[in-house]
Amino acid sequence: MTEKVTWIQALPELWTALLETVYMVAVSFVITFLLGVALGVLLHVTDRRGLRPAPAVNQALGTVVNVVRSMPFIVLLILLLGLTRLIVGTAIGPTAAIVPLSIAGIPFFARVVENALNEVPRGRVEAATAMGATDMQVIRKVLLPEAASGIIAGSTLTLVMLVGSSAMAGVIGGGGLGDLALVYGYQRFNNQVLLACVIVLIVLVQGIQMSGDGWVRARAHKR
Amino acid sequence: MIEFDHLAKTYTSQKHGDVQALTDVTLSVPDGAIQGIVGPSGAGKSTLLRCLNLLEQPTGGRIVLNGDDLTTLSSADLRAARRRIGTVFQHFELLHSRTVADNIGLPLELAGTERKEREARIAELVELVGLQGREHSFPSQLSGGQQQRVGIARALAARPDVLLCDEPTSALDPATTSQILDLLVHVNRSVGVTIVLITHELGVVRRICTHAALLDRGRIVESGSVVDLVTDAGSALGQLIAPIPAALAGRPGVALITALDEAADQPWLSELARTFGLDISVVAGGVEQIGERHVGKLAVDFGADVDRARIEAYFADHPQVHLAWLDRLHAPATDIEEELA
Repeated sequence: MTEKVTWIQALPELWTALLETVYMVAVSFVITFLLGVALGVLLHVTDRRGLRPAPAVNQALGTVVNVVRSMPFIVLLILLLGLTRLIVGTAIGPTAAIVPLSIAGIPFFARVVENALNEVPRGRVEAATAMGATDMQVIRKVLLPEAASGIIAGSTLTLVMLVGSSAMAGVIGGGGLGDLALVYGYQRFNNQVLLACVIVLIVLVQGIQMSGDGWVRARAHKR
Repeated sequence: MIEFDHLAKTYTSQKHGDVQALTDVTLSVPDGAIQGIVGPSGAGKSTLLRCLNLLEQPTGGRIVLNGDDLTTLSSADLRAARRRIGTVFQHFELLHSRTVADNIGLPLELAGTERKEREARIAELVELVGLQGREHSFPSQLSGGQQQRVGIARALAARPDVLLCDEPTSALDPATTSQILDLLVHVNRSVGVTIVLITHELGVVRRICTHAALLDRGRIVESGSVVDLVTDAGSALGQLIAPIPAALAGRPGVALITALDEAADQPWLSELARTFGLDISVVAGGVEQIGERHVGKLAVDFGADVDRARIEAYFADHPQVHLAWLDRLHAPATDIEEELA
């Protein structure tokens, strides 16, 4: 039996894995953010008490969101293999993992955004309407800015969720820290490298959480 | 001039059927007036407010602003019409993500006014409401009174024809209330904007309104200039604004005497006593400041067997002083009185 790789020897691999994780999470977060905000606004606006009530649309969107959200990520990953291949050209590797990560992220984030928008006092929206604002102006100048702190806090939550899910991408050879942990820890019983992966993940998640909280705190006077 | 012409609003709900929130609101507010609309809770004040700032379409009647009917507009025209009516809210409703200056500029921003013009207007308004130095503060860093100043400045930004105030001081302490009321009078005088003020506080009407209307069960039951109302002994609303003790109602020989401004300060009471050689006693009353005017209101006991015709003749010669016998008055609607503070 060959000598086990020490964590120092695994450093270059750890570094690559970290970059892959950051890449997967960052790209899927950007997609999740843009589409999640759009979907969250739609959910809020079409609500019975929203700017443009549309119960049928609201219910249809809500159902889709709930269906996707009720799926464990590992199942979603496998279900979406075909779609991933269609979009990215391959179902393996970090880029391929971005598709299921985004699809899991969007409905989660949409609910986060919807909740943040629901927290905006109704009177502020009506005040803008009474000033002659169009619905689009209400969304851009009132709803989103007033909900910004909630959306930032929700982004932190979503980023951490994406880091967690990205670890499962190892199953489809997605690369990243999860994959590395799986290969060394589970398949080769190398606890040292496994532990190193865990520590890097903890630091990453802590970093995200602390920056998010810090940002929200710095905006306290705008709430 | 803004006129409300037989405004009605009926809500249809599946649970409760039709609910008539407003049945007949008819009122014309002269330019430059401070029109108070008072009413007990449940009278339809909130519905009226939402119809007046065009957030809700009335189901009947019209709102006519300087000749334009605001109740039959397409959605684009409706947005333009909303800019002609600035609303000041009970709970301010400022955007907490924006600075004072940006809150004040919001109506202009929505209307697409250029930045330079906007900034000039904001500076003007900051000065008008006395918030110099706080332009870059956020609403959460201001006191309630300061927030309402921002609310007033914001409502004035687009140079509306009418400033609509919804219980503008109900969320404020007494000292701040009085500052905000002074500010409204100042704004009314300096900008010349007509103010429509919806409130349940008679003190507010007494203090700043030139005109008052009483809203009860969805209709305007009485309206007029405040001076006319308080000098009209038969006016229930006048009684509410400047009340006399209810215990005196109906006592024979007791008259209510109302005198305005200079007349309130003159010794007509002793003149009256001398002229007729009467023993008269004042049983209640005082001089009150109503808006800018002094109103003296006295309940005077002439004795049960006084010759009323002679006394009335004396008062006919003194138009500044009004007389009404209490036993000929209708008792004011006490249920409304209890509701209104």
